[in-house]
Amino acid sequence: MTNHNINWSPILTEIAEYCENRFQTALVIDTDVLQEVELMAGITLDNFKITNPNVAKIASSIAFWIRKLKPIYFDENAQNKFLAINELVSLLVGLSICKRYFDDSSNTEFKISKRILNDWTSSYRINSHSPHSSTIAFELLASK
Amino acid sequence: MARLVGIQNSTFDAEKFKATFSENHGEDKITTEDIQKGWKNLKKDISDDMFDELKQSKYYIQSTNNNDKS
Repeated sequence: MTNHNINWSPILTEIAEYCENRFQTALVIDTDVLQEVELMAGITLDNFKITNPNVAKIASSIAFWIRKLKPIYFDENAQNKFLAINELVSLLVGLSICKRYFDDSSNTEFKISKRILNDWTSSYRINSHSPHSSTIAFELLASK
Repeated sequence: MARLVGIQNSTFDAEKFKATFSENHGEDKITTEDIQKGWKNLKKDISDDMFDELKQSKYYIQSTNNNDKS
């Protein structure tokens, strides 16, 4: 079992609200699906059989399950939609995990470009990505 | 008859090999607050044009009612 005990609900809610404002839409998050996401991400992390998995493994595990189980929906009254909302939020959650190492004083802070975010979101939407393949991508971003 | 091949006196150590799969690569324990701090930092990097580009992608759809309003 991993040592990490993270409450994903407030994190996902905060990031989803930010996207909701940016896209001028209305989102809802299914708490039952979110619990399933938390459970499955924990199982994936346990499968690494590492007591303290690094941030890249945590990022890829939670991103994979948000993207796969899609806990975020559009409210029926939503005027606008970003169809890849779960994919985008999953990446923003993963990037936030990697970003926690850095602060304003860091000289090695990573910055993601708009092209990478756009392409990665699109690829998450239509291509196959395993937690392990995503780990490499997050590892590259998170390595200091 | 099938023939087994391999180098003589191989240094391959199955136990050592197996142990590498459970090496602990983790750093400090990560918390919910750490990730929220990470999101706060990430938000500073997310520019308006980043979302503008996403809104120009094929995944962004708008109601025609919105256009009427503008």
